[in-house]
Amino acid sequence: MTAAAEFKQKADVQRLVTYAYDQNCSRHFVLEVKHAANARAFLAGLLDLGLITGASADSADVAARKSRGCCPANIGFTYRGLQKLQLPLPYLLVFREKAAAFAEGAGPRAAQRLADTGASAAEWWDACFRPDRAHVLLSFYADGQGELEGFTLALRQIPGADGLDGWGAALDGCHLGADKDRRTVHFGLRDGISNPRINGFHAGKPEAQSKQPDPHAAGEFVLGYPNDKEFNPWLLLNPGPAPNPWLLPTARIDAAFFRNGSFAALRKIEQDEAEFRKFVSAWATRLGVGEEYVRAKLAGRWDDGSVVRPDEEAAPAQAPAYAQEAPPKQDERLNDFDFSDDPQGRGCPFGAHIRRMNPRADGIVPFRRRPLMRRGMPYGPRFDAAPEQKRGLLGLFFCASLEDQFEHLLAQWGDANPMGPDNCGNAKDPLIGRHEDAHTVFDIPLRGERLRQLDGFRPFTTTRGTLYAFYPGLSALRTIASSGAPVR
Amino acid sequence: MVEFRDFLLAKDIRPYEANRILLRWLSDDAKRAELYKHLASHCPLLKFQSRADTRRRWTDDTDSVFHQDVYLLSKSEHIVRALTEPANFSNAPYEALGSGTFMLALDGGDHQPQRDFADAYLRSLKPATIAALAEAAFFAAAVLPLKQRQFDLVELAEQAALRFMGFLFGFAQADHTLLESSMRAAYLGLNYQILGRHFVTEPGILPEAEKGMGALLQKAAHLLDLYRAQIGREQADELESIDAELKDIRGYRNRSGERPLADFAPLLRRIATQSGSDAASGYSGTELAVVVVGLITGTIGNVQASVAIAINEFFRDSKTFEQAREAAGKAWLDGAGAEELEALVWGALRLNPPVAFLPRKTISNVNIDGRAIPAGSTVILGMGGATLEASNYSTQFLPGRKPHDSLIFGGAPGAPGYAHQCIGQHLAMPLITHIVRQVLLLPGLAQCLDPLSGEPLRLEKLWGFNCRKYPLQFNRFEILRQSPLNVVMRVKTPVSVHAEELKKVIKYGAPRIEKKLRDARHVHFAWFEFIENDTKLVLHTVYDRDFDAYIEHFALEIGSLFDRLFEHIQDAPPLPVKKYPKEFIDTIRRYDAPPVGGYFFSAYSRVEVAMIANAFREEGE
Repeated sequence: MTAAAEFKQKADVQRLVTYAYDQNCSRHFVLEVKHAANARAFLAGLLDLGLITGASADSADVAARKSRGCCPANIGFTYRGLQKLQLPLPYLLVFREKAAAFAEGAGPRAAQRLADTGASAAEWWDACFRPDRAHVLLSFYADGQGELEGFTLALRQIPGADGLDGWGAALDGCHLGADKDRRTVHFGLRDGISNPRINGFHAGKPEAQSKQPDPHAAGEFVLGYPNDKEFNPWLLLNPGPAPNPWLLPTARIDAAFFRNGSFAALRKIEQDEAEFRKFVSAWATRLGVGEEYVRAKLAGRWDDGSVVRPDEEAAPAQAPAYAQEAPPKQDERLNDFDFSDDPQGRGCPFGAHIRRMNPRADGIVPFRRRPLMRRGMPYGPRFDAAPEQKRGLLGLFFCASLEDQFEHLLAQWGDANPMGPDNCGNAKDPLIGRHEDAHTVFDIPLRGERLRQLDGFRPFTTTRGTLYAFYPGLSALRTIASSGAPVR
Repeated sequence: MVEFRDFLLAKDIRPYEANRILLRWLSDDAKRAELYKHLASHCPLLKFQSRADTRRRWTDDTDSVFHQDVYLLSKSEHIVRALTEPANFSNAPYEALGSGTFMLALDGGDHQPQRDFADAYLRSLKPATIAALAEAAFFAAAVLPLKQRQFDLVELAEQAALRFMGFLFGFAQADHTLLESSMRAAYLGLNYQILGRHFVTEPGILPEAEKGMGALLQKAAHLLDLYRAQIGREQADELESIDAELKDIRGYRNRSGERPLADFAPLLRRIATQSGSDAASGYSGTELAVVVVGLITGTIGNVQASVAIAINEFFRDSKTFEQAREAAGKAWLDGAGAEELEALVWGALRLNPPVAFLPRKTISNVNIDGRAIPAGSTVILGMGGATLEASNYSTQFLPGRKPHDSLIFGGAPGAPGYAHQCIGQHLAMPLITHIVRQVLLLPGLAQCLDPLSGEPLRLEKLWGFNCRKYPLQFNRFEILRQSPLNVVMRVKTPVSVHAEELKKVIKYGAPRIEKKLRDARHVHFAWFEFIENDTKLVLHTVYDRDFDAYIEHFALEIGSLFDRLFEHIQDAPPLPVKKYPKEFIDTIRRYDAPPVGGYFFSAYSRVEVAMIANAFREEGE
């Protein structure tokens, strides 16, 4: 298979959208714009110093930056943030029209579109996610706490940093365990196994017979390019009615502003590991099976990351060829599968987390892959180290359409059963679902007509906050930095 | 911001300004609680200048006197005195509303016989009957609001209370509109008469309330007569139709399949037939109707307010909400375990009693805490002050009912330990608990958020206690998966030409339409219809789940079917659809004619096309 042509404007795309940083820790600052001109000066400073990393930077570049004390960093803005930074109204109108979820913000949509109700309801999210405070999302990655602190100090020295508030409350994430090939998230699940690949950014299929799905069109993640459906929603900009000259400063819209941008959802998910373990252990005892079996059926993968195969009762003896490097090693247990050999869910149940979140070749209605680029990291210590402490995931998910990708996964595939696959269970996503009714059942189909059914689900996770951010291309960042009134 | 202290000393504050400040404080739950706490220790008797007219009725020939002094009592010992000393306090302020309001919040006094008469009927109702009526009432009230993902809790509770009273007394279903309009006017009128009039001037409210209650009085009297004897064909037919509705109510089956209402006889019918004649009951027809209207008026607004206040309180923090949801779940399971939920409701009502204020008039000179209230003065009882007093003015949420909570709803007549007796409480509480439970159990129940501030939209109250609205949302798709879409498109002129063309397009396009819809696997039904002499073409469809979540696909995959159609439609979006899906979606949304009243029925409300296809795969495809 021939590799697709490299994406031409790679240098303009923020690196986090398409590539992960192979670092151990992350820090997110959710900042409030207190003084627009100063905040823009800060942004200009970030750009002048070359601190925002583009997708053309490779790991050697990242290492070189770090040797200078600079962590790789990326920046996104909420809609309110762009307003606060005085991005001209016609641009904001384009967002209103083409990215309604982003413009509205996560909070008001959370109940219907993210299934955040009960303890996860938006009104009880952490204060930094409040729409009147969450304006800028600045994220950077490092291998240790010291580097994060050092870079934080450096950032705060940049002129204009005082135009932003919230420097005192960092959201820190850290991988569990130092072995990069054995990373897990809380609940004991293997992390970083699969992420979508994008034409022009990642290598194509390793082999013709691989069941690994085809790479996605760039438009699934990067604005301004055709998506998997060969449709480019950001090609024709139609900002609605012409701006009223009596009310608004007129500004010509440059479509290039949106090109190479992307959207992301930052989602802080608290995990109740004690409750999860209690559930797993109770069912293991009741069914007379191992705890790993219960965990694997709920997640869809064994503890070592390999997908559960039909009629498998225990993890395979041979661990999968697990590796972080790209292109990923081909392994039919990790990624080269599409469930076509598991049509009844006798291996990976239809209700399992990975089969909901990525149904692969399952007959989803309407058939549409809804990829997300996952850049999350756990926060808090391992459960065994400090059971009483808070822990969870600082999820960061990139996509070109928050509505059709991020929200669709959570509401249509997580909170409800995906339409199409023959899942007769009625439980929500067993790991991340907001289980309200303890009587819903999770089906584990077995050979023949036999079935195991689990019930008694309680929410194992609580959403502590979500924000929607736009990650402009580097040139568009310049536009933002120079919009509005000049620095006084 | 004026401090309580300055306010009470009337330091540099003119009466009108003081009046505005007091209204602001009374209107705000938190501020009101603070005020009561302050009053308790510094000023148990608050005198303020009212803006109300002293004339009780428009027709009174006394002169109007404005700026009368009004007294606010908020300590429980004073409130109990005002409620239980008929020689010193009367509930005359209600008279402005007429029609049976003398029944309200009454202890002892001249109308004890009427109370006893009504009480005997209400007490004869078995708990199982009340529970079943509450279930049937909520079921009826929830049909329309729960077709949408957003609903107004205040209205839902109001509708449930109206249905309940309609069933209980034996009104015809067609009387629902009358009950609704008269009770809305009465609730507002009551609250205006109790408190509002001292702060705002809305002269239209009382006449409206009187008119509404008059109409209900007329209807109740008519039904009493009808139930006794039908004169003429028309009345016989009317009773027949009411009987048919009663048969439906009697056929109501609860979740255990029992029919607890099989022998149910509505109260109007019982009052009419058991007394046999006016003379036998000891009351004239009008008097009987007045008692009935009084009972209904005393119930609806309180039920509505209690439900809204309880849910609003449960949403104070996630822990309380989860606790309430859990209690609701348990109550649902064993059917009888409603005590825990009821305790939570009491906890909420103690912080905010549904009847937040009661009016009284002094008959003689009364001494409160060493200060005199002259005879003929209006006194307002701040019930929330008394209920907060019991918890030492802590606004912490504490579930459970205490004897002193009789000031929330009175105790049952004759029950010891209650300062105030309420003949309706054994009716109202099961209804309130049932509505609260059903609402809490709605899948994905959540408050709606203000998009700008991110703050939840809370219960809106007028004058601090007249519940106006409380928008809530829930996951409607969990109980009703399908939605209708009816796209009404205007045919281009000349209609005769373009309608013919459209028919051709549909005719030759049918195979492709069929295939596209079949492949879509989430459209149940679809058909076209010409209406209004071919001037409009309607596309009717029923599809699964959320329009927004699936419309992009619809536009990209099925939108092309519209390219040819839109050539003959006025104000079509830019074409081709595949290139302008957003505009196409906007057009569809704009031309969608939603079902009347949002009503949409599905016989298999939780079943999707894909499920049907999966289930019948072996036989069909």
